[in-house]
Amino acid sequence: MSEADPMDKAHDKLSDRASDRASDKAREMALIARASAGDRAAADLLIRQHQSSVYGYILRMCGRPEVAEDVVQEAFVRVLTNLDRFDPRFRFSTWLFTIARRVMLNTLEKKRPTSDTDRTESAAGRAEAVETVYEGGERRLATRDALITALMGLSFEQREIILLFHQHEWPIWLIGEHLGMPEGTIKSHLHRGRLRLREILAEQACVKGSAASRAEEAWL
Amino acid sequence: MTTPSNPNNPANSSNFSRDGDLFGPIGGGGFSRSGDQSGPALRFNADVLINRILDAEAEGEVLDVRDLMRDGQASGEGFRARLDATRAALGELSLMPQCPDMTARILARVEASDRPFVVRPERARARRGRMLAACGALAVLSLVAGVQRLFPDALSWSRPQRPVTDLVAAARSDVSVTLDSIQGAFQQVGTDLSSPVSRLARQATRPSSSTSRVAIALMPLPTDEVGVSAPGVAESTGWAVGALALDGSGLYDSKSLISPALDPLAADVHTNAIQIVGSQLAAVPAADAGAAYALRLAAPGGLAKAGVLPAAGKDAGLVSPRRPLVLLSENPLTCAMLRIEPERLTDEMVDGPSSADSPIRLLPWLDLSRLMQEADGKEIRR
Repeated sequence: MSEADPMDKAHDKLSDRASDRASDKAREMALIARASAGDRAAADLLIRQHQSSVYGYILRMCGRPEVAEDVVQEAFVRVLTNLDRFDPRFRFSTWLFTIARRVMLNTLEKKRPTSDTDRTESAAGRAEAVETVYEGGERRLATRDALITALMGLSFEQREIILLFHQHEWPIWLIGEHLGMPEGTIKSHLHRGRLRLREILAEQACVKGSAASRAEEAWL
Repeated sequence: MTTPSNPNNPANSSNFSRDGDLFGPIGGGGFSRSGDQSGPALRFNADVLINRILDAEAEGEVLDVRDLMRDGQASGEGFRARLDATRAALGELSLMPQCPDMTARILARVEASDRPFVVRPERARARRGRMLAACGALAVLSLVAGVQRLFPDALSWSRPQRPVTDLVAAARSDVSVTLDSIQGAFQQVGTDLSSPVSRLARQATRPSSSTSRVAIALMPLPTDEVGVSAPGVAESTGWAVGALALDGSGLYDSKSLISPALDPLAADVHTNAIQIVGSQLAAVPAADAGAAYALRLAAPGGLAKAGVLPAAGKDAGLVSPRRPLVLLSENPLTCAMLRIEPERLTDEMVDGPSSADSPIRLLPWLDLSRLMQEADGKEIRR
């Protein structure tokens, strides 16, 4: 019986989540229908509900806030002007992310540095931009900065899959559909990406630690 | 996604003997029980376990997590630290970066870039309308192009080129029509009608008191320009056309035409006194001269021949006082002549391209001059 309790709880939790999802879906569909019919307030609400998540996804994918802003705006413009094409069988966020991803890839392709100088400037701009985005405590800033740097150390696929899985809590099958990859490949990228992310962060911590101790020694 | 743990599902098993497992240990058995694993192998297996724990956590498989944790802790002391480090790294991802509010900008762009929130049927209707309008315009243009190609004159936006024969035909009917034709001919060659001909045309369109045929002509002056002076007008050389009343009277007929530079009226001098310096001008009534010439040329009861001098091209300025236009017709007889410099007449202009069949005949200046003298200023009735 003691073993059954967690199972029951899990079942209850599952059914609660399912009903929540259904009502969320219904609300979202109503919102989309209103926006599609020309309701500006509905479109406004739709943007507010999704802009943060899609911005976080794009920012951490490309590491450049100015690019992320442009991409998010463009993605929403495309989505809102094509709302009638939305297939209600799928999630709105998935559709939005797919469009945003495509816009981001196009944008990055256009903005790809063509020379070493461009690359240096681009990297400098990225570091500066990250600082402007992450406001708050110093330590938190440093952690997030390190996280962005670590994410940039992953391959594109690893980064994307890690973000979709851990940041946006997409299930593996959905990520597979979104990226057009088999679930096994998704898992492979996910597992390798996690370990790589941890390694990069550990390396960064070591470097910072040794730098701090060197500074301390120099002070003494 | 969050299905309860299934003990029969090999993915939920805590030992790593599943075939095809990406990170499963080589060989069977749980690593925590093998005890013969080397350091890197242990780390490898610990990482596999960490991944499984994170997967299970993400999928809410609590029981699996518990089993996997037990296996992991059995694998060595460093397992927990590695797991925590990985969790911490991934946990940061759940914190969303600060997002600027782009709502207003997005909505503004939507409204600017497309018909804002217009439903698809309406948008499709508008698009269809635009397409129809474009197709219609294209069809009309194609039609116009086709007609233009088949019938070039039908859709000509410029005034049709009127051959000189039209002048002759027009001259048969009426003086005013004839002069209109002259005007048309001038406009045809792209030149403004000169003042003399304009004024003549205006005069001719007024009903004439004469019942017989009328000859209207500007008599050509001697080739040399004469000095003319008038009160208030600087003495200069110029030309004069028409029945100047010289004869020492010092007056001139206000109906005659004088070059604008010398015209007292044009100079806003209110006088009709004009002094012809040298008085070399032979004042033969132009009407008589033209009529005599027409009579000479016209066959009795037939059509008078008409000629145009000279067809020297647009640049020559057909209406210049130095480019006479001679038009003769039988009914009513009309003769309009302007000056031309004999030295500018070419052989072609004098001799050709007239032919017996053509109503056009080029009239050499000298002949014209002689004929006018012969006319002696008489009004010819036929």
